Formats: sequence, C-alpha cells, structure tokens
Amino acid sequence: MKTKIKELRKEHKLTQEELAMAVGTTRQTITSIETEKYTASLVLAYKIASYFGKSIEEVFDFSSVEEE
Amino acid sequence: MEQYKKALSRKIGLVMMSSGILLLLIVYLLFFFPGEPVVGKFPHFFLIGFAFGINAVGFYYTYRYQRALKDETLLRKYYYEDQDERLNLIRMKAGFPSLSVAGAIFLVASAVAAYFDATVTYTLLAGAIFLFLYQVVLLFVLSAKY
Repeated sequence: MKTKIKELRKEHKLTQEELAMAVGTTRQTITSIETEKYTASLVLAYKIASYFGKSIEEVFDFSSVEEE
Repeated sequence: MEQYKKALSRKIGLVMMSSGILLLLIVYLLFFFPGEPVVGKFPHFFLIGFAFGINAVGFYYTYRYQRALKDETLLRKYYYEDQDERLNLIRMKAGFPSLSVAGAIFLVASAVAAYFDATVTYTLLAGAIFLFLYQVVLLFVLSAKY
C-alpha cells in the first residue's frame, strides 16, 4: 500500500528511528511500510496519521485496495 | 511500562531457573548416571557444549534485560521490539516459540537417549538441527518479504 510517510517525515525533519519511537514501533517496521512491503494495522496507521495531525486517508493511499 | 518491567524480571527469573535445571540434569547425567552412553564420548562433549551454549545465551539475555531495567530509553526500545506487530507476524509465521521449544526438547531428549539407544539419539539430534535450520531460513525469508 502506498503511503506519504516518507514525505511527511522529511517535512517534519524526522528520522525513521524517531518516528518509530514516537508511534511505538521499530525502525524496520517504518522502513517496510515506506517501501510498501508491509501494510500497517489499523492501530498503527491511526497512530502514524495522528502523529502527523492528519487522517488515515491522507497518509495511506487506499486507491489500490479499491481497484481490487 | 511497569507491567513490562515485571514481565522482564519474570523472564530473568525463568532464564536463571532454566539454566539451573539444565546444569543439574547435566551434572546428574555426567557424574551420577549408572552406566555408560551407548554412543561413546559424544554425549558427554555434546552435553558440555550444549550447557555452555544455553548458559551463554541465558547470561546474555539476563545482562540485556538487567540493563534495560536501569535505562528507561532502552526499556522503551525493547518494549516496542517485543510489541512490534511486524516482528510478531514474522515470529508467528516462523513458528516461534513452539518450534524452538520443540527443538530444545529434542536436543535434551537426544542427550538423554545417548545413554540408551544410538538410533534414537541421532534421529532426535537430526530433528533438532532441522527445526533450528528451518526456523533460521524462515526468519530470513520472512524478514525480506515483510
């Protein structure tokens, strides 16, 4: 699933490690989400979106899910 | 976080208890068991090596957890690693902890069987090695996939 996490991270000048610690996960999980290898659970997606002050739909791109 | 500290203290206790029980079993088999192993000196050296290996791992984790109990940042980091959904998915798919426990039981059973039957000894040992290798390969594959 495509996400805007990398762009948002750069906007806020955050490293993957800092974002991971802020939302309660590991750097490797953030990397996997950014490289679209892993799809975050609803809880983690909500935590990430909340951290950036956005809704889940603004951070995660559901268009590929709708096409399926 | 307080709950996690208690869980870590329990883990440290379990690790030390397991090491103690393993050492007692090995001392019994090496010095007090009546009779000689049917596969020569192999089980003696295997048991000594196995005991060193398990205890080394146990001491490493004890040291790691003790450090975490004194450092909040490290404690938080280990807590997130323990709770991480991606890592838990990988562990679950790789068969942790069931296959690891099964492998450990096979190893101990192999060492005990060495005093009675060679075929059973080597079969159990092969089974344990297979389980270990299978889990390692799965971990690599799943870590790359997810």
